Amino acid sequence: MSTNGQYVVQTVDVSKDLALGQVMVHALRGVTLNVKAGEFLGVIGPSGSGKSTLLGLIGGLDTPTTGQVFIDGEDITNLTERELTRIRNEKIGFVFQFFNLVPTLTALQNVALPIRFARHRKFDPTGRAMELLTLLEVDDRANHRPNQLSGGQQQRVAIARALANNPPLLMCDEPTGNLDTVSGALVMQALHDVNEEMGTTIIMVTHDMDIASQAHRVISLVDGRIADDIDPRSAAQMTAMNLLREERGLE
Amino acid sequence: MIDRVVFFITHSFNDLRVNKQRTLFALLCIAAGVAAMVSLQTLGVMINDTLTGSLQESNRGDLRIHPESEYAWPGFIESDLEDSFAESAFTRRGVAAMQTWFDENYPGSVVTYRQPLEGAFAGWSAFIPERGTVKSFIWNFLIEADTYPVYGKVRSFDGLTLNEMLQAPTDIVLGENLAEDLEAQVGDTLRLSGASQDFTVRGIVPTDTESGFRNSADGFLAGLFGFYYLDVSAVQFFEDTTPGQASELYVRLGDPSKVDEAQERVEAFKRNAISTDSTTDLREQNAVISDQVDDMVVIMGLVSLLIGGIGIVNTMLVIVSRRTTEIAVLKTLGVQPGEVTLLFLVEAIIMGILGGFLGVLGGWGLAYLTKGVAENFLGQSLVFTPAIAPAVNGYVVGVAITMIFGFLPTLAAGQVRPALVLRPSEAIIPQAGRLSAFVALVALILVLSLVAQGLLGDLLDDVPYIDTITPAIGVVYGVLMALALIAADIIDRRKRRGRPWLGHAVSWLVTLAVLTGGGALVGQAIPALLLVTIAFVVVGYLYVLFWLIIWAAGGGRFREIWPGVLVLLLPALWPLIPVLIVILLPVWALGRLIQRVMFVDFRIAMRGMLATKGRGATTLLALVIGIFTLSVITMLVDTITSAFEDLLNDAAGGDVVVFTSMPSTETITRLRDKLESERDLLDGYAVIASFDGNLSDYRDVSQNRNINIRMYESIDGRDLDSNLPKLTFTQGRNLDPARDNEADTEGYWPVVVQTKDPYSEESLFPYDDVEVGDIMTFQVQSSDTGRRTPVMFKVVGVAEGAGLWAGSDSRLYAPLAAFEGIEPSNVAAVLDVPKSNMRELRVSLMDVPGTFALETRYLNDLVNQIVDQFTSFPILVAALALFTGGFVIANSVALSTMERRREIGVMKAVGLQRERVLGMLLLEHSLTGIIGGLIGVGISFVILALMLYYMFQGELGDRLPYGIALTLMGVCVVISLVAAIASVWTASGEKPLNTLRYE
Repeated sequence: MSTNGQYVVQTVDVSKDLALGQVMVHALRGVTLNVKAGEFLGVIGPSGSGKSTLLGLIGGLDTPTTGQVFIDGEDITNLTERELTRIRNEKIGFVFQFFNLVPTLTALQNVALPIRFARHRKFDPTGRAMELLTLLEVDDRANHRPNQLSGGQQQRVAIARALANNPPLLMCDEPTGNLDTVSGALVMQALHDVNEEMGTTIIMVTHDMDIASQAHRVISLVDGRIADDIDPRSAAQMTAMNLLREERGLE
Repeated sequence: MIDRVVFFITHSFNDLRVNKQRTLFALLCIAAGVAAMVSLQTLGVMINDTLTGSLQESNRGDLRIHPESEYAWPGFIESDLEDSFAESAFTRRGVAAMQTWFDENYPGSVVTYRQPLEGAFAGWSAFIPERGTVKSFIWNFLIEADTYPVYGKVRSFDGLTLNEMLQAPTDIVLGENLAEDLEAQVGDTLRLSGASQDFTVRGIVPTDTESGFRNSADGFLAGLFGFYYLDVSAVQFFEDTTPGQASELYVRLGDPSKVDEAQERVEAFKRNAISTDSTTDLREQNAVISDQVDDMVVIMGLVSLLIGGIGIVNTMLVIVSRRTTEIAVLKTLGVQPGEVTLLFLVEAIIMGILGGFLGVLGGWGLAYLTKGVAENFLGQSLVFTPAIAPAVNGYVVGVAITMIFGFLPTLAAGQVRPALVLRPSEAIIPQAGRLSAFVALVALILVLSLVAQGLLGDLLDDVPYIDTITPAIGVVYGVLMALALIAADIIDRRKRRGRPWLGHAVSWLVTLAVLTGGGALVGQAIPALLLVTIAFVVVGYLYVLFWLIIWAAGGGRFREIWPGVLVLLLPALWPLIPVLIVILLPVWALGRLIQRVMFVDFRIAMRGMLATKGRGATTLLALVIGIFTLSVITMLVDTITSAFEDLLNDAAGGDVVVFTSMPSTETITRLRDKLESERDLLDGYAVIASFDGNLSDYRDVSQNRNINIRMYESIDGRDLDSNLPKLTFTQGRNLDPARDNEADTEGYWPVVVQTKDPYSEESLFPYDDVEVGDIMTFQVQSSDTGRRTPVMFKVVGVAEGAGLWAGSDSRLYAPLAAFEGIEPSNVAAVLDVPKSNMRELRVSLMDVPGTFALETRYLNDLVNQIVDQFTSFPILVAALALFTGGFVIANSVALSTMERRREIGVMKAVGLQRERVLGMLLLEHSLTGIIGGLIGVGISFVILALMLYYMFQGELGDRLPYGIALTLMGVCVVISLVAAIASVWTASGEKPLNTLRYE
């Protein structure tokens, strides 16, 4: 299979089966998806629809049962754990719902972490970390530990950490899911800034249609398959999506 | 790279600081193990320093000359040493001749000697009438006060020398240990058994003046029982001791450097009669003792450290399991598996470094505190020095063990899948890939063997076939590692489709060859591989056993253990199966029953125990090793001493023996009159006289044959009215006062025979075939005139055992009336005296000259002291193992409580009071303590019962130390509860909202 250079992410007929106790669950069923460089993609879907599984496969956290995954033109499907780790370090940044900052490190140390473990170091860890914290307006909290930061501050530190090695792809798993409205808005603004100013491709998984509608493109997953692929800026498509949302009981 | 290492260190320190309680318990685990090892090794160094101190003073001279063997003891040597030595070396004239010889050959030399008191119990007991204190089995040193010792000075606490204190024959100088027991003060009057004069205490000298390994066995016993000095002129007050009959000579050479030459020349005089010990010999002997002490403390210290290692495994497992999400995040950010492992390994190493440091300080402290135990063991005072070598040793080994034991859990950390970060609710304790874990485990064994080898040195070199066994083990390990690696590679290749196989097949063969050969070489170089392999196998078996016992005690379900049951398919485990069935089935049935009938809190406690079987098994391992060792030693000691006490009372026929120094019929009469006059103080008494003579005729009635025999024998005559020995008769009966106080119609006196010789414990002719009805004729010798009187005896009873008792070494006894008109060779009495009357009786007996009352409990004290001495050090070591185990348990409890904070929060959220939650948790941990106690004490109890069964043929009832067993069980429960209370108390007081929100 050849890849198109304009896509940062390509999945080709990807399926993933998970064993839950004695039961085999088909979490993803033949998902094919192309994400262009600089695109901001929202992924929505009800619980158990396969959002997190898709995120894990694209992020190189897991390997598909069948199909292929390309990141920045590189097939990561059969890579070893060691090679996948390198890809994650250099090409992918992660932002999680529960922030997942290392509790014993300060904000600055957390952000510097991926740079310290990069095989080819492109930045000075402390300088780059401070630069990103300033960009995300949490530089005044640089020497505080996670438990000394608010949820919104923690998430902005997490975004800074995800951007540390200047990856082409940012994966966000419910980035506002654990935040109040004001903090959520600040985080979304930060993601938009990153997408626009740094040209970073963003894939964001969320339950929240309002949050998803801030993306350039939204796909909805149902039962492990892509049910819709729309442009939220198109009023007709959004109306259709909202109707579907109500019908499927989404938020 | 340096940047990463700095990060690892900073991160580890942060983690340790943030999780204070967990860190503290883990550090204590390591510290306890290291402390046990450092303290034992420090004691070893102190012992070595003492042994290798002043050799001339320890040897009491450059040369020490003594009889070659027990058969050449003073009095037996009658021939000359050389022409110039006209008499035996060990007589007064011999000593003088020896001095002359040394003056001629080694000018400036000094010869002195020491002599023992001889005769039955002469000088063995001391009594201070005005204080009513008595001490028995004490050691006497009769010396020439102006020359003894030839090196150094013996000084009293008042600063006086022996020469200044022993001015008159009745002056006596006491060792401090004896003076303390007698509550003696300078100026007190003191009576010695067998002495016709009382003595005056002139001074008290420190115990280690004579105690310890110096002066060979004498010094050892002097330290154990107490000792005193008399001038040789005091010999006149003791009947059987010949003046100047030395037991050892001590020589200070004019030129000590000629010691080897002098030794050679002295030994050439009379090769078979004397032997010598020079300072050179002593140096060599001490080197051997030092090595043995070193080996012992190293092995025992290592055991403690291994117990501490269990704590490390637990701690690292919990650290890893509680940080799986963090690990997954790190891996998501691009941290490689090896780096994650390294990160946690650095944390383990930091804990090892900090814990080791604490352990060194604790070890020195323990060595200082337990110095007394080692002194008791050696009978010699030790000087405490915080030695550097043991500290470095313990520290390095402690850090190494922490690294080694911490490695497997950290390997698991590297295996955490990063996808976990997306589904934190699925967080489980990561399992290292089974094959890589197996390879790591084998590598661990090899590294641990290397550490052990460094400690053990050449200790295992004498094990038979060691040169074959350990390379073979090495080969097995090599093959297993290679197969595991190949299997892992095959699985990996299959997963990643389309990769070439041929190159890998070649690499597999190379791996197999290299690891097999390498294993053989490692085995060849590291004999300790054998020890570590055995330790791993034993610990592995115990772990499985304890795991199953917890499962059974908790009344677990079969589905929880069926994968474990598959392990029993291994043929090596088949012998365990019946044991498991016998133990597990009843325990499981009981567990199920309790689950049904007990109150709910108890059931929850049991389920809590069931939920953490793995950790419970390691806790039990730590607890059982310590408590088992301790219980085996203490219960064995108690059983031996109580059995000995019973045997002694039974054989003697009473609890007090009165000795006399002037055997005669008059003494018999006076003693009997005195005892009769003090009848109110006594529960019973019997006077016993021993008579020497020859067994001249023996008539075997059943075979109807006469045997002419001429055999030296002694026979006891005793009062029959009370205090007869309580013997087990194989034939016939004991003597009977109603009918045995006179000869029968044929003129035969009744006699009881014990078949075994009191010394050799053998039944020799004619006693090997003695039967009731056999007739013996004795030519009994009167001790005053030597005249022999024939007395005929008929055997009325044959008893088991040997006839040795406190007063005589005869195996025959008959009515005293049979010996009328014959002067005895020894007179004594056995009494039953209430303890409260002892003092009054002693004072009263002073009216009969030369008498000395000895309570059999003092004989028992003697046994106790010997047993205590030899078991003190093992008990110390067992206690140290238990001490380490205590910290491991505390750590386990802290870890499991930490893991169960959420569960505790839920219990409180549904309305359970803090006290109830606390009660349940404590109940759970006391159950662990009870199980540990039952196993540890139970196993030693069974071993003891089996031993007693074979020793006493079923008379077990009153000998098994039930009290001690129960106490030790209690100790187990207390240790578990004390270890639990700190962490459980805090956890149960936590607000439920906190735990539910943040856990």
